[in-house]
Amino acid sequence: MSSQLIQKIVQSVGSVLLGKDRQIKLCVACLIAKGHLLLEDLPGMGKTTLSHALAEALGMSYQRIQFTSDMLPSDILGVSVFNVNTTEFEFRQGPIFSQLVLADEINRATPKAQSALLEAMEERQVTLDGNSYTLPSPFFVIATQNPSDQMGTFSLPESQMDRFLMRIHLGYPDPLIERELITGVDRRRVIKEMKPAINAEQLYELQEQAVKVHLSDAVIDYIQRLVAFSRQPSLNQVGLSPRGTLALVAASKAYALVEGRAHVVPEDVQAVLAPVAEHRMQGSQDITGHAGRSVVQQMLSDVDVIDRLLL
Amino acid sequence: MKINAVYPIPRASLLLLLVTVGLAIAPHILRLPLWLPVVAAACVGWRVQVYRERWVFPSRIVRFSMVLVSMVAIFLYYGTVLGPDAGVALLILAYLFKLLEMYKERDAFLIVILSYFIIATNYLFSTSLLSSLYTMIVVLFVTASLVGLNQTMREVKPRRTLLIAAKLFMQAIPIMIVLFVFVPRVSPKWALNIDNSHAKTGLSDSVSPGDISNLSKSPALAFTVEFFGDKPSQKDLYWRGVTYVDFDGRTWRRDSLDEYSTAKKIIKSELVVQPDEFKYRVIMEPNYRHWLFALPYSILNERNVKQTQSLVLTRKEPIASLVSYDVVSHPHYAYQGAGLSAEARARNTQLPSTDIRAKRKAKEMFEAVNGDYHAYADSVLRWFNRDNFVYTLKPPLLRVNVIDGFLFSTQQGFCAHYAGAYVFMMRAVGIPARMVGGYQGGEYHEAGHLMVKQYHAHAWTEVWFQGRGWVRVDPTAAVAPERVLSGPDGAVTDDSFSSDSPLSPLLFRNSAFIRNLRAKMEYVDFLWSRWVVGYNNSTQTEFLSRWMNDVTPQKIVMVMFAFLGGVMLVLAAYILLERGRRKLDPVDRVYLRFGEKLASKGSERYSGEGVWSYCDRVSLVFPGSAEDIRDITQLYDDIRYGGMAMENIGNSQGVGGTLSKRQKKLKILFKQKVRRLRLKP
Repeated sequence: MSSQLIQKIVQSVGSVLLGKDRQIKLCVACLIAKGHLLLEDLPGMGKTTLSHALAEALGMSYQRIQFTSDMLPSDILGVSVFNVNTTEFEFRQGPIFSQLVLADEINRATPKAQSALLEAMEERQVTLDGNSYTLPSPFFVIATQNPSDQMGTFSLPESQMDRFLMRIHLGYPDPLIERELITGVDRRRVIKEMKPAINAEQLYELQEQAVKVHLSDAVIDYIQRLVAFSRQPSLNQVGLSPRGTLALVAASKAYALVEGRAHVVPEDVQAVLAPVAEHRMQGSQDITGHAGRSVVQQMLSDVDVIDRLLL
Repeated sequence: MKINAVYPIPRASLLLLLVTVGLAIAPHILRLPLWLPVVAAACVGWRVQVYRERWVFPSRIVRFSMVLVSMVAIFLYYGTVLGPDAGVALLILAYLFKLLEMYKERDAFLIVILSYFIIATNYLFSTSLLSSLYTMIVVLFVTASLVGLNQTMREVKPRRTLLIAAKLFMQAIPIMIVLFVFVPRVSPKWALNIDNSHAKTGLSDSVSPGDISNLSKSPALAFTVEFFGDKPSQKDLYWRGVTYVDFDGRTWRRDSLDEYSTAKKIIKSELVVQPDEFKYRVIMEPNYRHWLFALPYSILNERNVKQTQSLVLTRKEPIASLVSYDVVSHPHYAYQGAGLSAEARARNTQLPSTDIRAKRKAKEMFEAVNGDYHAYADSVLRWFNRDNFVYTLKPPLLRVNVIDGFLFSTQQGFCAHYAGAYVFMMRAVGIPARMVGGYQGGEYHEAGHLMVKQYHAHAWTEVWFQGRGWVRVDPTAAVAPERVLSGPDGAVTDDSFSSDSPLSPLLFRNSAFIRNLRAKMEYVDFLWSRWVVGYNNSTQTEFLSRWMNDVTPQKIVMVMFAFLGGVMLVLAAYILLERGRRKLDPVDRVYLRFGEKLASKGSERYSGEGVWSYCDRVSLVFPGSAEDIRDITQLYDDIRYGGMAMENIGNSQGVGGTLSKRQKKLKILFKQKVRRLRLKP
């Protein structure tokens, strides 16, 4: 039942973004695990298309915010306006008051605007002029960003990168897929014709199920060995934090559900390891924020799923 | 401000502690006043209620009065608060009351230490194999509660705590054995004065045959004899212990010259000893008396043991614990000395003024044989044999004129009656005679040991003939010769021998199986007494000299530490290996074997490769075995990842039964599949 629903989402999104099934599954898993998603790639790789397709498929109300360098927090959160008739200040909700927020090119904005969004992401509420406004539930942020070495970007600090459960790269498409892209219909039109694959209750149900996915001792051992490996001082790298560990567990469970399993196998952990761990493991000298990638590769190949260490 | 916070003892530990209290007290119960188990139950119940937060701990005044009342109660019951019995009872009460005073962690530890102490007090009363084994079990529980006290509140399963304690216990056993074998035995400088009420069986200082209407025969072990070389025949097994010389018309009393302090040592030159000999070792159960048992004439080299002029072995200290001694006995010996001293003759012919009829009868018989001493002695025996004398363990009581009453009216009695009457008859005509107490016979065990039981206790006489010295005469043999040849139960024709107790071992002595089983148990008990309880300085030296040609204290200490070091090393190695081994789950180990099988065909699993990725990859290499590989991987997935806890686990493999059964079956199935896997390309 749940696997059919997920299958429906993946197929629906896959009809828009061709040949990226693995990334789509990761995105769905991220949302089922109640995590925010960061899509990072070069311009024109389909980040925005993917985010729009996801929003449509999940059937949620969504707002898009295009981040620019002259952006102010009020552009995201909303603003209090003086109403002449009532002679009172009135709060006008910003685009963040939506179940799904598409934050495009998040690293084009200044840190001030970035942090406004990221604080809302963490607390799931907005505080302005001493009043707190609760954000709708479910609340997701799908942010896209260009690689930090591009012109006119402000890289997100580690603490803010941490707010995203996953960071996903799309990569160039397969030549055959690209050919289909060339010959096929306009993707934007496909998005417009998309119908929601699930509703809010079903999404809620999926999220509940993901929490209940069985995580055996053997897999916990494996995750702990991975985490311990990342924390080795010899790697010259910030290791995974406990929050990172929890993120890895939540993502693994959700991915297992996406794969139609009621229990986590090490392959699930391996599948989500790169998106979950890479952006959390950047060093101080790591300007591009991609040093984590090599560590993750090492983790995948050096930490065996069966512990053979005799200590 | 005084903080009255109660230390919350972990649940598992409290449970173990309360069980321990019960177990530690249990062996003492029969020795304790009847009300004490009630107090124990009350204290335990109170503590449980405190744990459940239903009740509170007793106040200071209540506690104080409890102590006072119990002291008085103990005094009223035992008449003293000192001594082992009253002391143990008092200790147990204090121990129980401590349960109601367990505020701090320290109090709980105190109870644990007290438990160890109370267990040790059990050895004051019994050193048998069974009680030692029981003690071990209690020690295990005490240790478990000690472990439990050091665990967190989260540990709620007493079984796991017990397992840890059992492990500690097992590790301690080799060290215990080494220490037992090597630590030098120092005889204590003090001895606990266990009161004589324990000497309920066996011989005593005096015998009053007329006062006994029902001689209870206990099957308890008196002593065990291990012969080295030849064994004497059954009819020669007269184990001498006591001589009774003084007779007041009612009671025979032990020869005061046999006391260790007053004893005169035997003059060896007065004896002519033939060279034939029996060598043996006697392992004697404690009887709280001073005498040792041996066949005459015996040579014994022990400190603090004297051989008196009546050839009795007397020891300085009473035998309060298991004692073993080596004896060489020369069965053929004779006196060549000048004869009895006037004083000895007077003592051995002394008679009370009662029993006129017996004295008259003696004179008549003596005259009938014309004053021949030997002929007279024989004629009295013949009289016992001919007339209607009956051997019984339930003789009628004799109020006055015991000898007359026995000889002329009742004519029923056991060995002491016959021996007493015979001595009387001898003395009546001036022949020196005395009664001898000891054991006659014994039961040979399969392993060759002779077990002498309390029901082998016997009394016979020794008569002085000029030129021959003291000659053994057993008048009981004249009445019931079977008593001497086949043991006490052969001699009794009525059912007086069978004990009234429903649990009496004598009841089942006709069942071969039970007899055999009992003999085996007795033998085990004997070995335990011989090698463990009786392991003293001399046996230690004897034991160690089998490996060391020269046993010196330095050598013993060196060897002991070498052994201890060895034990520690073995344990350390075991712990190291165990830790390493435990890292690898048994299912993982089987899976790795599966990986090795594939690797030998060139398809090794990469480091970090998940089992399903590996399955997919090798299935392509070995399409013929793809199904098996898939099954194995599925089983591994089910067992290790799939949550063995899931309700429908194993259904797809056709495995049924309860959850835990299915889990076990799956593991076996997995092992089988890996073992049977033959790779087909």
